[in-house]
Amino acid sequence: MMCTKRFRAVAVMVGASLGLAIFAASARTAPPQQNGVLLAGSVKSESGEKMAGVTVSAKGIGHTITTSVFTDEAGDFYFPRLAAGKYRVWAQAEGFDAGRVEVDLAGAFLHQDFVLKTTEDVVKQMTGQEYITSLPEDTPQHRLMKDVLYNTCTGCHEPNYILQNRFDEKGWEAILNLMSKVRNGGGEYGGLDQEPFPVMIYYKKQLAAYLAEMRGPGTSPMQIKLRPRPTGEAARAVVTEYSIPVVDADPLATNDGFPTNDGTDWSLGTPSALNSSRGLHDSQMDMNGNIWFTTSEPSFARTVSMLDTKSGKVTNIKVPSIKGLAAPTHGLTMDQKGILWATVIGAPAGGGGSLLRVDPNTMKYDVFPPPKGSSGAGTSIDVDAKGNVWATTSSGALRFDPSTHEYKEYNSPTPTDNGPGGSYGIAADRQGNGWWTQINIDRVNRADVETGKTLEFKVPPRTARADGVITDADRKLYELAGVELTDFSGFWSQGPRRMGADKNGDVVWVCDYWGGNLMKYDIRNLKTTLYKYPTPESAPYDASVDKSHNVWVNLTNGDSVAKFDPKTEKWIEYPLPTRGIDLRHISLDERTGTTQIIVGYTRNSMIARMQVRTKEELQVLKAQVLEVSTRANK
Amino acid sequence: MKDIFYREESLNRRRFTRRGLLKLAMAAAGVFLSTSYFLDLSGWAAGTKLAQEAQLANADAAMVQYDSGGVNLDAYVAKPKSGGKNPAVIVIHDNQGLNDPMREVTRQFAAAGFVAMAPDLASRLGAQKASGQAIQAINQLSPNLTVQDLRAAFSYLQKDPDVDPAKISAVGFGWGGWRSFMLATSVPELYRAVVYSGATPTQGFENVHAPVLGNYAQYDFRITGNAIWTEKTMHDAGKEFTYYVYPSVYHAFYSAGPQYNADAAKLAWTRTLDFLKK
Repeated sequence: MMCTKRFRAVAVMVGASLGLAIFAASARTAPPQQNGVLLAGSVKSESGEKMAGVTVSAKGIGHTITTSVFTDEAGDFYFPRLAAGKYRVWAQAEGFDAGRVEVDLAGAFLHQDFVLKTTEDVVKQMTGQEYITSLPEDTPQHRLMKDVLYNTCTGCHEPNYILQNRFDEKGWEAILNLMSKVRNGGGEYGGLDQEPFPVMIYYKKQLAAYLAEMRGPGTSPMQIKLRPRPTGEAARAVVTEYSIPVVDADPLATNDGFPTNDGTDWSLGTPSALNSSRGLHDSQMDMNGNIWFTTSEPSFARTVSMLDTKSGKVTNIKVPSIKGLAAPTHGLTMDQKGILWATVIGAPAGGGGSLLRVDPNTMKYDVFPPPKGSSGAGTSIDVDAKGNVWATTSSGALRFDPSTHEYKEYNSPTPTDNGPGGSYGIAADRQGNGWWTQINIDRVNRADVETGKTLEFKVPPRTARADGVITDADRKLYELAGVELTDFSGFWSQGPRRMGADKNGDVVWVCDYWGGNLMKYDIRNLKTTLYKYPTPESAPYDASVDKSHNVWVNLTNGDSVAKFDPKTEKWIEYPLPTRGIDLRHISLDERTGTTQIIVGYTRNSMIARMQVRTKEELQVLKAQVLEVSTRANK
Repeated sequence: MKDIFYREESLNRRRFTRRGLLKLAMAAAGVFLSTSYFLDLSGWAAGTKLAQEAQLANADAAMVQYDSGGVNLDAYVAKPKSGGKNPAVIVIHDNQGLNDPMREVTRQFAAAGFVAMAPDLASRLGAQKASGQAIQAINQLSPNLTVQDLRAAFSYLQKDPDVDPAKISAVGFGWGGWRSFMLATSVPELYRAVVYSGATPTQGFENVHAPVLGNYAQYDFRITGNAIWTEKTMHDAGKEFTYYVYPSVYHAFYSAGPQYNADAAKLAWTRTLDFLKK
């Protein structure tokens, strides 16, 4: 139902049903699977060059599930077997207009080629990271303004949300006037009497002039630097995206209950409608293969929800809150027994601060209110090796024993309850100790459950682009403004955001959102090591560790996930097929021995799972394609 | 003064009636409520209770009604017992409404020699509310209309024979702070404006005539962070603006409640009085 008009608008398709003679002769043959139809083909540019790393997506017409793959070094793509039926299939690469086609998948195999034309305007297609990387740093003023823009305007939404637009100076000033009066966290306009964000209003004139220079009516000094298209392992990924109906959908603000721009068509730019997202937040696959997710905005229907990964159907659980609303939730995880745990946020009278326990088999839930005097559970949640549940609070962390229903509270050595924010990410290590971050004051804390003491680690400051340009007046501004506001960064803030523990190792990993680092904390000797992401402005947000000790990170400004191998200290980035997805959480599913990455698209109301095919698996698929295509050509 | 006393007499009669009805209702329900609890719940009654306290502050106080564009608004007015022409101050409540602490501040201004008028801006939406309802009502108020209602309060004071019309100032707390600054941008005759933990308007500085004083809390980052920009913008426009940041205190340091800080509140009060009396 989604996107019908868009897909009819453009179609660049040639060579349908051509045979493939390009597959390696040495490919092992395998008996073709009977379930589903093979879909494969190749992508070339207008000049006839094979294009590697092109995102090719297929979505059943009338369905909510989109499957995406990437072309290999030879420019060929191979979908996993898809159910028979009518599909829209499209191929996208930055710098090119999308190729689009509607196909009827029937029989054993369909071959589909695409030829992509160079686009006239690549800018709309870019990720937030690409925009920031492309902003020049040639003059002191450019460096200062780049820092101010990045630090002030990219904590709640990606940079492409802003920079996809072009306005003159007056226009940008109007935008800044509006944005400076947005409420903390919620994103709503606070009204005439709302106090402006101090840094935004202080630099308003300079920032408006800068934005008009970079993205205004005239020629921009931006040097467009695109991210390389995925190759190798990243190009072997299969991403399955589920469109989730917007909760309490406003028919005027949505497209049949789904976001009007869901980010799947890159030429439309990044989605900017908060109303279309409605708070889809953390996601977690259960033991049955269904994906659960939290909803952080108040709604009338959703506290937590279950996505049936086979049908795409969503089932909501509503925990009653105030005024007939469902209690909103934020953090989500699963314990060793397959029980889901979430943090309830929102009004204390509506259960805010509680822990929510859900049995996915019975769909029954229990709410555990926080201990008296505690601010209660907040942003993030994890489970330790003994099954204790850990959650962040505004002053530190809580540990909950599910067998006794007892809470124990741990306070951060440096309190942050003198300003907005508090604890942000949390992880419980395999020794049973709890770790949490204070994003706003660059602290990582560890509670020792044996001694009851909490140890604090100060994250070393990052280098500012504007170092040498920053004046005493600038410093005083940031001091008074409290750069520790969660969604803002000071010039030197690292912003330790969410984190993950290696449950089979002795390491806790922390993402520095502003600094662009992955930090390793050795739980035995408490040694800290910092690994800079190659493009720090990709904004690593959350980390999850697989059974092989690899660290999976969601890159908010990259619309991508990345894998860090601690042995080789190498990164692999896996671009996801959709733009402006505002990733805020990452979780893994390893029930079957392979690793699936689960992420929620906060701004797009989608859930995605990613699997990386092995070379062997792909060879088997290629062989099947070769076999059926050869048979068809005989 | 006559007008105020007339109002108070009128209110006393009204209170008597309400109280009688309430007693009957309580008796019928078999419920006992203490008089003080009742007084806390009822804004009208509280006004009178605190009028008694006003005696202790060497001030006369009463609720009045005044006109703002055809709408009657309530205000709590306290006057120095000494009489004569006095400087005046419009006390603008925070988002907790015209509650006991705000009435107390109003009396303190009277005790310090000011005719102090504290409009109940929530009364635009109906009768006096219990504190929880007042907060809800305040959230529904149009910012521009509240400024209009404060301009009407300014006009009311201008006509008060006990007031020196050349020395009418405004002091706004929290939510009322922005409104105090807005009065400065829209009432050229305003003598001085004081902002306690309040937002700065983003435009209209060229229209300001009154010197403005800001009292800000260190742990009130989003508001206090605007002090530097406010100072720069006001000075660039050739206007007077002074501010103080009170260290290690929270937004509502000025008012009885969990964030109250006696030392900072006292210092800010002294600075405020000095500023208004200049």
